Amino acid sequence: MSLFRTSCSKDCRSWLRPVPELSRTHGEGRSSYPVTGSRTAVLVCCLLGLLIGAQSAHSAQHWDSSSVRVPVGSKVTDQGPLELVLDSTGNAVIELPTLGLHLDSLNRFAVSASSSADEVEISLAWWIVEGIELATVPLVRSGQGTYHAQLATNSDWPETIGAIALRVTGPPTTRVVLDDIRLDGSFLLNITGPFADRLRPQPLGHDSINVTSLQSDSTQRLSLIGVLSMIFLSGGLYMVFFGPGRLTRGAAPMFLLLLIWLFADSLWLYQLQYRSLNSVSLFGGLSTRDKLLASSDRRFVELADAVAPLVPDGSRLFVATQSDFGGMRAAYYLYPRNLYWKRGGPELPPAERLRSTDRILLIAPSELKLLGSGDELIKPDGEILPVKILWSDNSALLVEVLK
Amino acid sequence: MSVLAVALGYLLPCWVGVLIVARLLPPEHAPGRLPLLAGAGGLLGMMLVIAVTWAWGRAGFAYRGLPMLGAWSLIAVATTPWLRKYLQIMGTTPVSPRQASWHHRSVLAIVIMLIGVHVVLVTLDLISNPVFPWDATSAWATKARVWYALGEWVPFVEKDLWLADSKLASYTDHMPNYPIFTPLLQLWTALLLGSWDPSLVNLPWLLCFLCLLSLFYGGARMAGADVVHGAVFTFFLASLPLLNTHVAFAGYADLFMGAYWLAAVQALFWWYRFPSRASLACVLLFAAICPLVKNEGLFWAAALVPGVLMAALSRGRAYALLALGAGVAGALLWVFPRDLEVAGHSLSQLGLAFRAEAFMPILTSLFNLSSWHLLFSAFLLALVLWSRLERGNRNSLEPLLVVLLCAYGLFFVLFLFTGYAGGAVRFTAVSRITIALVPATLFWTMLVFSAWHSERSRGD
Repeated sequence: MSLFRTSCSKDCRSWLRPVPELSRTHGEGRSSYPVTGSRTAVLVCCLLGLLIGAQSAHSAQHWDSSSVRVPVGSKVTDQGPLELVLDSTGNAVIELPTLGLHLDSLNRFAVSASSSADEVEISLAWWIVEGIELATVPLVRSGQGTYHAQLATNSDWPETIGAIALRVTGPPTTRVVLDDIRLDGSFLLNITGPFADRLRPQPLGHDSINVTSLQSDSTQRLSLIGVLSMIFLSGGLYMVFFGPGRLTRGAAPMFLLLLIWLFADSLWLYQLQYRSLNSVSLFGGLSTRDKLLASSDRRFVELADAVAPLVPDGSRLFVATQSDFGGMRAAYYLYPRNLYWKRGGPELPPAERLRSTDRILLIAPSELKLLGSGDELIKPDGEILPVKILWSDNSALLVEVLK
Repeated sequence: MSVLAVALGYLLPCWVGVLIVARLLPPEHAPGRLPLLAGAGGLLGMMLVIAVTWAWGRAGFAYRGLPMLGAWSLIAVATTPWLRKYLQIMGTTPVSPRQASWHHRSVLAIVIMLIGVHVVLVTLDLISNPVFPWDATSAWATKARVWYALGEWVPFVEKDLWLADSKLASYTDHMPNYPIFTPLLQLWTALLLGSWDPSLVNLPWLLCFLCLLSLFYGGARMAGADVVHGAVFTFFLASLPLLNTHVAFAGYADLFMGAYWLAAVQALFWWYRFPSRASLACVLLFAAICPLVKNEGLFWAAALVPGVLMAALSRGRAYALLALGAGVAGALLWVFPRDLEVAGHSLSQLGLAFRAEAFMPILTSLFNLSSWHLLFSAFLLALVLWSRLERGNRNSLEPLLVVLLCAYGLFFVLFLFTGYAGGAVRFTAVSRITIALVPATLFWTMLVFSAWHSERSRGD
């Protein structure tokens, strides 16, 4: 049993269950309220669950001598801690394989070196493609033989990483022992990482209609919503089962929810206003046609403009392509032509179902190929269709079926 | 045609819808009746637009905005005197926010402002972006584009039928068997605009969003929630990221599905509280609309049946009948013809088998991604709160809970036992399908929070 002491001013609503005779205290006063150990224990358990959940949601990657390549300088052994010797110019490069790692959830790099490394500088470099360096971050010496870099705030990290490497510089032929090379997401960064992710403007994309996830790889770790949900549920359950009377009598569960919801929604609103203003700046004030030409569908709008006049009334149009998106968009802009497009293929129906006035629009990539002088079209199953080319550009071709 | 035409073209049907709902909806004197009538009436009005536009085309009339607007004027004029007596809005007793304490007024001001901000932002997106999402350009807006360009109704048929059609009297697209609800709304909007504007044809999505918010708030108030609970939970609904996206990035029918299912669930709630033929007719009306919006609407409408049983029978009988029904449904699966299509799907297409890999993605979609903020955590807490409510309140909320649990049961069956599991694993469909259930889930959560509040504050 412990005692909490609090001052209460006018209209005070205590967060602790008051003793009955004080439950409606409105005037100035000073009261003592008992809090049982079990309630505190439950709250601690709830928060502990939150911490464990968040902690378990992050992972770490360690490298040692057996898992790295040293193209500059030399490795002394292939097992255990990495012992290396700088080359005659005082440099060593250690390539760290990253295959299979979710680098976006790993944002703290740390190296522990032996005391012999006091005179060396270590930096972390990463490449967008092999051989082209994207960014370099010097590791900060944070103690005796320990170096680290926080990568969460670096806008280049972890964009399209091809490889990462450590560059060690110091006196020539210096022997350096790196006891531990580690890339992880610290607990704090793991919590704050999603916040930083959410503040990165993300325009509407094709996936936006299916799911809202403002993180690069939200399924691999506890998301912001996951953390907030655990806080809300912990607090809500605590209030329901052990909460002080005044608080639970009111609209406390709703206000707790509102408070946390407002926080989550502020980040969503930030994205929403970015997207809305982005849409307005892209399309605002444009005519219908200019709007379409300003969109990412411009190619298909122009394609439809070119092809539609060549499809007379009474003719059928077959849109043939292996690209689901290309076929879908081309078909959409070609309506109200009476057309056929089958998502996922086959690109064309059997040849016997085609007629002499039919048109076929081939959009790359397509399994249909023109033969010889361009007067025959061969299907993947070997069927050959006599055709006449009506129109073509770099990536599309309109033919008329001749039967 | 013009903005005025668009305004009239939706106000007139919505007015008729409001009149019909006013006829069906008890009780006449209750707070929240006006926003509830506006919301439910607006939704019904859009359904009437669909019905009239479809019938107009099927009757062989050419699609032209002005004559159709004239027809709507006649319908509105003819029905108003007949139904006006039921429109007893003036008898309501709205609670003024001024009666609330200063901190409640502050909360009200904040959430109303935030609702406004969300509505403005999604509106900016909607009126700027041309039709863009995948299925919008392969299965939904395709039909509207054709009908508008041709100025007449033509059928959309499966590809085999289309290939066999020697007269070219039919069309086909990626999903010719999808309901024509949203295409007809887009057609009607384009007719009123006088042109195919690739952004403004999506205005019905904004109207649906506004009706949904109005319906939700009105329903909350009529159910007994105070102004603050009603407004705060309406803000929760207005701020759901994926719901916002479906307005901003309009073109899919999921938003409508969620709105009509909420209307049906609310109607069930009224029928349970104020049993009458009129309120039962309201349940049946909105339940019947569900399959017309999306194919799976049939299953969401079916999920209402347990709620109807709970309301009509004693608790024990209802549960016994539900257990029997579940057993019969399970047994029917064994004898049901594998190739017979129901709601656009046959058993052979569904590929029934347990798919464990979809379980975690479903939970991730509900609890860990940003689509729903903290809705499903709030729902979990609401379940705990509900279990601790007084018996009367608990029993009154039980039918809706059973309806929700049945719907989520179907939802989990869909993604765990059918080929649609891929839509959960890849996150392509699971969140979208959830939209149908989200407004009603939030409504029930609100009812529980509100009941909890009123129980705990009693005697203060």
